[in-house]
Amino acid sequence: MASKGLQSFSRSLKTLRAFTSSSKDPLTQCLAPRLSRSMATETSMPSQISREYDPTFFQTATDPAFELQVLTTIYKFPTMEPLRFESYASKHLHLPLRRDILHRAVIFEGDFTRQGTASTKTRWEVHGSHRKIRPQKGMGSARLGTKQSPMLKGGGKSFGPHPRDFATALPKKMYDLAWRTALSWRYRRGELIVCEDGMDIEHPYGRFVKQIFDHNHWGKADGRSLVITGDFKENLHTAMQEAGEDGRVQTVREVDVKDLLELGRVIIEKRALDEILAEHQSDLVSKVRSAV
Amino acid sequence: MRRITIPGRSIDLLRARATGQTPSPYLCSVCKHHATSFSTTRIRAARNSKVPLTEKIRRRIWGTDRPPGLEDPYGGKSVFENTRGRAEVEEPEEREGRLEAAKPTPDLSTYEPASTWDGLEKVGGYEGWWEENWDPYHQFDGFLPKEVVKDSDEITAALRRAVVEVFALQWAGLPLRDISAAAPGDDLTLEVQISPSAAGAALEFSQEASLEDIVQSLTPAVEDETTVKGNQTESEEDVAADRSTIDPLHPSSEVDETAAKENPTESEEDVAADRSTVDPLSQMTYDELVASWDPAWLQISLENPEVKFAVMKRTMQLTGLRIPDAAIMPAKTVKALLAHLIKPPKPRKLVEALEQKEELMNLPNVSIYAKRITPIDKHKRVGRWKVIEKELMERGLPVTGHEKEDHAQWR
Repeated sequence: MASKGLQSFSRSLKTLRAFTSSSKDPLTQCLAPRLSRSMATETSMPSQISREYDPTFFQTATDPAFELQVLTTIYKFPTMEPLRFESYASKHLHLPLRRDILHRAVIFEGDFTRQGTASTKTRWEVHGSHRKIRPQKGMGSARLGTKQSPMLKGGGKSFGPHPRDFATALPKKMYDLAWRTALSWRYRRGELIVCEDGMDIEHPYGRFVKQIFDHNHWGKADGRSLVITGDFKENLHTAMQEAGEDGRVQTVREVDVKDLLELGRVIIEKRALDEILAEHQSDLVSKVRSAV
Repeated sequence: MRRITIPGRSIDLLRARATGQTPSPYLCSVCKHHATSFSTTRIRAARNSKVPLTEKIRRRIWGTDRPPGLEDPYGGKSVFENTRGRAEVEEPEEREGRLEAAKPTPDLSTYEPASTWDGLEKVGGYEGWWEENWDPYHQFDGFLPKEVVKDSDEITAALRRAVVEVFALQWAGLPLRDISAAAPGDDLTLEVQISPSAAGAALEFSQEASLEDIVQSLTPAVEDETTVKGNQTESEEDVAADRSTIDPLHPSSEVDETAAKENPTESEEDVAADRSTVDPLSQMTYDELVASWDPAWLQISLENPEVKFAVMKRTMQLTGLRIPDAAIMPAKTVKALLAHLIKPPKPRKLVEALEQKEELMNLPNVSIYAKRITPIDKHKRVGRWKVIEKELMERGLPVTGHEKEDHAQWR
């Protein structure tokens, strides 16, 4: 009995050995499912940094650090001294780029902004008598009715423009997503500079604000900059009127998605950023208040 | 009272007669009003000739026209009277006469009146007023230096300096938010060894650069400035001397130090000059410096947000590079931050991008140009273009493009 048990044990050991030897084959090793994913290991820094396309987005897209919160530096406005870090929700400032949504938002805004006041007169609106110009027959020329006829000079316009509303519709959730996508795009590119509340300058002169823009590399040579403030800042707004080639300043109420995408960078007061984010999060916040 | 400069009025004549010799008292009330409501220098000059009341009384008392004693017994003249007196001594006409006499008489024989304004001195106007009077007093000074460091080795050195300084502050138990309190001076951290450890980083200070020195260099020199105002840059000298001893890489630093001590009244410019000569980088370039460090310092963790913020802030202050938030966020180690910092900016033109490709540039049959190669360029390359151009000019044919008349024909 005991010898039989030993025999079966040795047989099973042999099969086990055979199995392990077969699994030494590199192919099966590769194909075998791994139980644990190896942690990303830091490789040594390459001697020459690659000057090719830099896929930072793909690196950060899977980075768990970006899952919930992103970090923002708050600067003191004219001096640009970093003051502290603040965190924002990833769904506010770290959304993936959606060109289609941005395009729709810009078109929506453009349509909405159209004045639509072009107006022409039809033949019924042109002033004058409706008397027949010449007899129907016997003159040797074409038959004509009234002089307001669209084919005559001074006549009406057949299918001319009339005042109308060009506005198109865009779902609010999509528009709000476009706002945050635009801000996220700026954030990812490092072109969103958040400043401490109360950003204003000392002197209301264009030459002074030009100095500031030149010092911080925000000016015309660096693609101009949009400055967004929470409310009207007397000195800054007055000064920027004289420094239009270096950028422009707008209050948060005047800004739209296209403005955010237009210039080289966006310098925004924290208050204004918070206001934009609070206003444009209808796709994140339920309209119905939860019962709990 | 309003001052007017009217050359002369009939009312003045009237008044002078009224107050002066003839005591005829008649003046209509309107004229009286006019005469008193203006004050002109002319009237004041007229009044000065009058003998003051106190003098009159003195004369009456003494009974003579020249009474003994002080001219004004009630104290000396006031400041205003002194200045007025000085002005009166030199009458305007006299002064002008004197100035004209002092002026060298120009030689009018070679004088030619200018027919155009070219080359003439421009007088008056407000052109350049702001540049002269406003700009020098309202210079903007930002936190970041205006000049951005471009050399990658220099950036690496700046980042290492920032890391060492931050951890030195942490070791000293000082708040990390004071990292940028002092304006960046000389780099004291070159000899400090830094390596990653469980608590962040381990620093090994050498004799030349101690923890105290580094921390002292980071604290704002408020007390220094106050003493400098009082006694002639003594403390500044000390600081300079300290710094020169700290510098290990400069063999002649002792000479400078003694020289500095011998001249205690050296001006600040000289001190700055001393420092620049003491600069270790004059002998050791940045790439040698970076190569001399143990690369382990790149593995220092930046997980602590406070440390990360301080390092970022100091690096920005030292290099002038603004580190975007999207790069700060994922940087877990110093290496990740450095990888972002020394990344070259995206080329703006296709030529720049292509020129950076080694494999393209090395190909024998490929050449890269910034502009389109035209037939003219090909002619120029073989030296034929000048001849062609000359021939075309001789025949009156257009050298480049078409003549306008050609288009006009078909219009």
